[in-house]
Amino acid sequence: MKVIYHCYGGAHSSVVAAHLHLGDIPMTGRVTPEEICSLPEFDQADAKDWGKPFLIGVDNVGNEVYIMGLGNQTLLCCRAITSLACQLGKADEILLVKTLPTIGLITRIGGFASKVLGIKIGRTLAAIGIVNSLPGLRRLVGATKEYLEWKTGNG
Amino acid sequence: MLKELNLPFAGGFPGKNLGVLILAGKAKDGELVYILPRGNKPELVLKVLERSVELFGEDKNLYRFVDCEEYLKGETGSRKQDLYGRLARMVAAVKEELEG
Repeated sequence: MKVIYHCYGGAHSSVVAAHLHLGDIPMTGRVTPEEICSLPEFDQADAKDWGKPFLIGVDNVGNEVYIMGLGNQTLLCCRAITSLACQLGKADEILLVKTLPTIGLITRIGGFASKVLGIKIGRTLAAIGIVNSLPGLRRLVGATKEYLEWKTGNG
Repeated sequence: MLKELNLPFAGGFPGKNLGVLILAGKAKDGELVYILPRGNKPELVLKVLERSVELFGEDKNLYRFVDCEEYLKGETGSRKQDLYGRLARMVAAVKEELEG
């Protein structure tokens, strides 16, 4: 199965969700903004990277974990991917997970400051926002993994 | 003009169908022909589709995405009445490319 965590820019919430999925960030306990900033893909993707699935790693049961930014065309692009998968008879091979609803205003402001305005402090602000949003991201990733276990039978 | 030809889907698609690939049929030489209502910002959705073809392990050389509106924009002498002729030229060019 290919799991694609997607958000607006593919630089913040989807990156953290993918690393939570892969176990690079713990599913419980405290995480610092510095740990978030140290993720190689954090705050990296730009608008030119939108629409490109980027492989982060393979989880312990063989699922490929990707991130992707879809700008403000999430619905349209998800329909396109899903309908292509259906036409190819591969609908069972893909799972699209939207991470944007789990994050709050601080990450959004930080992300905007960093990626649009080019202000360095935006990166730190985004990381602080992500730390605050970790419970929601963890719930989302946990639910995704539960679904994958049910779907693939890999308990 | 297209409505007068009474073709399936010629009336367009509602917003909920934007981004959905619709199989229109199989051409004489065996290629599958799809329609994609791509909305008014096509760049991202077309990029997503091209990348997804690779993601699913398909040979991207076997896929040809033709942005009809973009193609027709480039046509000279684009009178509205000549839409059918312009579309026919576009399809002929695509088929020629496929054969080549």
